[in-house]
Amino acid sequence: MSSFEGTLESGQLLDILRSISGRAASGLLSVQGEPDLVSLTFLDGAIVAADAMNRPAEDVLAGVLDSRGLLGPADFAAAVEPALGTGRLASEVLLELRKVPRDDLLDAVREQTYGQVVRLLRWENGNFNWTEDVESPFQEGMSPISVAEALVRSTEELGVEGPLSTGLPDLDAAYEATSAASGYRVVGRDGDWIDRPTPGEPVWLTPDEEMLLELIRQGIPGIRLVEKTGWGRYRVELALFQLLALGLVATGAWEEEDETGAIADHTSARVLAAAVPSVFESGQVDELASDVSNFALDGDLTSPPAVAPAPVVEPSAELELSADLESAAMGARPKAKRTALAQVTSLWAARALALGLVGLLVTLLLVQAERPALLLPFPWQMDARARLERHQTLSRYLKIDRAVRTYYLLYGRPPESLATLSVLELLEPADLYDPLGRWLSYTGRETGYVVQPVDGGEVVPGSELAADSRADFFLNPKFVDLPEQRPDPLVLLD
Amino acid sequence: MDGTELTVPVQESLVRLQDLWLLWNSAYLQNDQRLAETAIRDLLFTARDLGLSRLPDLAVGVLVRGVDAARSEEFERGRWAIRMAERLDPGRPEAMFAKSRIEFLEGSFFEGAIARIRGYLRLVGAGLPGRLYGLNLLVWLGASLMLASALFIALQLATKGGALLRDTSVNFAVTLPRPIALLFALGLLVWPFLLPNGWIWLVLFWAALLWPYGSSSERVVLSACVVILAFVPVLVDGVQGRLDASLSPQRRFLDRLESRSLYGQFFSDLGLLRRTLPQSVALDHLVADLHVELGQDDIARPMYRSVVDREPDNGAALNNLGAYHLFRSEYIPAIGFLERALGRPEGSLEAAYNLGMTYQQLFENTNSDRYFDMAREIDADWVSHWLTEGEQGVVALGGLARIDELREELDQALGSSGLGRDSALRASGVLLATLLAAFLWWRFSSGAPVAMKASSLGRESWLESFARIVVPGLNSAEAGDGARGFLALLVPTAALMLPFHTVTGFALPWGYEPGGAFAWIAALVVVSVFYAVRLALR
Repeated sequence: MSSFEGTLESGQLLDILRSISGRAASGLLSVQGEPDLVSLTFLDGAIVAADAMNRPAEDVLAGVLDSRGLLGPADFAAAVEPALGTGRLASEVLLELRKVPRDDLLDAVREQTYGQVVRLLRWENGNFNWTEDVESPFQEGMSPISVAEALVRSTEELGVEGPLSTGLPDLDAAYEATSAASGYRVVGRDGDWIDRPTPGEPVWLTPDEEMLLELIRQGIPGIRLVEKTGWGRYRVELALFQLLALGLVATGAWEEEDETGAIADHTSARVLAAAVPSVFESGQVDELASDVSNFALDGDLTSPPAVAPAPVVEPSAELELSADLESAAMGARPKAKRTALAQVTSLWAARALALGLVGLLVTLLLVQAERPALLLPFPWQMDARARLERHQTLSRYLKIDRAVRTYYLLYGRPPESLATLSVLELLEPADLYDPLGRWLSYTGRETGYVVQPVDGGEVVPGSELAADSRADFFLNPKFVDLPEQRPDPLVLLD
Repeated sequence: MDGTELTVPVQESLVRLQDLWLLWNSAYLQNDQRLAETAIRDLLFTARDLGLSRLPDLAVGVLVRGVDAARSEEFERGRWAIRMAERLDPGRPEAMFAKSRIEFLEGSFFEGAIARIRGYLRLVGAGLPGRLYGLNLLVWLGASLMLASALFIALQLATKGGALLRDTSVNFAVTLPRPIALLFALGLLVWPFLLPNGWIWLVLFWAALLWPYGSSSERVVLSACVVILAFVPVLVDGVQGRLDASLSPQRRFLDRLESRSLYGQFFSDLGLLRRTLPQSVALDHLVADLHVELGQDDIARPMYRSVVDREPDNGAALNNLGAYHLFRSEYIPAIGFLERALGRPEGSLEAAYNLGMTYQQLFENTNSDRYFDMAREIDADWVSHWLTEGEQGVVALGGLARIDELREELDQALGSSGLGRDSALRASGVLLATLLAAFLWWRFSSGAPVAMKASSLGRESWLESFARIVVPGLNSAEAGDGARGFLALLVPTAALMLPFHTVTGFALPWGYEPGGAFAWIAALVVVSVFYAVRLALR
């Protein structure tokens, strides 16, 4: 088939990517979405180039190189500008000019390509067009990005917002083929494209998925699938994800699940995997259909997944299913779904703890009496905290003393209150309290004054400041003992 | 007079100072600038007669009057008050703060801001307020580093704690249902909060647990955070070690005497200092010099004798005893003391000059020339200056040069201390224990660096976008860039801590309070610029 086109709602971008990858096809896939037009170039089923109309590859590459400290935007522009319009790739020009080491540049081009693919995978709708055996220029030497890598890696990075939003399968678990795994078609052998799933029709598999299903039938546990296939983790995880989503396999080794207590009823879960298509077909439980479609791809991109061909379901199993359909359906979701949920719960719990710590620190900072505990927090620093409080009190008293004396010097009498000194800008409002936040009471006398902290209406003994103005020769006219009596200085002031 | 003997001329000078201050007040209230200027000039003349050149208490009074006038929109009167205060106590920060206030009241915001900045610059070398301000800045920096460290660890928890919780809960999930296992894991994470001052243990514990989940740079920064959290408290305690002495009236006297300032409690503080250091030779020497400065030579002489009895090689005291006798034409004892003073580290120059002068008065020109030449060999400029001024004898104020020595004696007497060795050892223990726990957890747990999120790709919820802008360091935490994340947290934390720098530290006993508005403005400017740059770079 030389070309193929459709809309994303019905086109199942995931299935298209599976088809291209499964056939190891080469060509150009263009997707026109609301925000942009993205083109992916495939070579033997893997992505070798990506470009977008509103976010050209050159711009993204410049950003990647800049963020990696390899080449600044100005240098990039200076190097690439002369080649604009010649059809040459910016990366080729940079290689030729030896502006960036080859390996670093190829890695950056790969990252730029991957970034464009991830953008595309998050689109909700659009139109696509596939043209076989047509390609746009791509950078020779770049390691191609397999469809499996693009899908699995982006899911790992984006979590529930990734294209395989229900989470990835657990390779530590064991799997077994369900009874639904008997009839299927293989893309490339039975057709070029994975069609829209129709109830009653056999599902489509890629050759990878078929081979993996065969290995699972042979009893190979999940942990050995990567080693057995030699494909690498991405390909195994994507194929296993699809087999689980299509209900062709289910987790067989439930021991781990039993240990954690997450699932109590294995039988109903396993039966459900086989029974869902028949229920869907009969239209008895629409909710369940929706649920099952969601487990395949909770995300935005694809339509409900292909359902398995109608298997022969034992009446007894159907009865078991109808006893508690909803709970069984929950249990039948792949472990990946529960894992994603656990991840989200853990993440938000951790965020809540972090937020709690921030709140605690802010409280310590704002509550005056707690501040020493912020600066000197260790238990063996109790003496140091007491010393800090004493020094803070002492420095505050010195400040108050200086202010009182200045007032006395100006007005010939002690102030009525400390608030008066605050009005004169000799003290700050905060100086009317001691470092522990206790209000400071002030009593002016003929020969001086007393300042005492008050706690709960009671004067705190042993921490007062008592000052004597008679020892200050500016304030005490009788400081010197000259024989002649001097006039009262207040007369002059009046 | 609190144990300090004052002769009638000195007492009269003090009375004159009181009278002149009242005269200035009355001139100021009558808006008589000329009379006020005359009072200021006479105040300074009188103080200089006592060997002192500054009157800080009166300067603050003048400043308060000036600001008061500006509040009544008499800005010109306010300005001449500032100028007079600058004459009474030059170079004080308070004068610039008061000037700044007057400029603000008049609406000259730029000049006000400049004056405020000059005020803060004047804090360098401004005695106790300057030292306390320096301490406050150190405490502010330490507190900012500690808070930024704790916030960095909180951010690591927010971004990587999910993986930590999952890994921890898996161990419990072997025997417990998953929700209960998660609760147990949460409990395991927060139990240190139950310890006294739990926040610090919580933060250190999390730092250790999060170690395996961070990138290399984040692990380096996590280690630095643990160092900060363990050692900054030790440093904070260390820097306040000498405050017992610094905040004492005795120390205030030494500081003020060093800057030649005469203040109201000058003599009472001196009395207190003498009671604190009754056996100090250095203090006796200093007080003797002070009496010489006050013109009370007869009170000084027995004190010099006492100093020389205990320090026979004290050249300055020997010279001053010689000078005392020279002034009274008692040449034989004068020559005896001055000859002894020759060749000593202190007072040789003065002794040689005084001997030259003694022999000149005895008409022994040969000896006189010999000693003058000897003095010129030590410092020809001073000799020339004294001869030009017609000095019949000169004293060596070696006692006033012993203020640093007295500060040390005072520190010892008042029990001041530096860094506590025990505290440093315990902090080292905390550091090692945390790093060891982190290593063991990393070695034996299944934790691994958490995959980075491609934050520049795809669509985000509004909450994520908002958090990405508001929470500094979040992008870096997701990208695994530890240093950048820490700096992104430190800048706004330090800025927001700035207005708290006097409440986390010490009140500054300066005469005129500048208020905290400047710190708030500076903090808001820094935070605004920080977020503006973040938005621009986004």
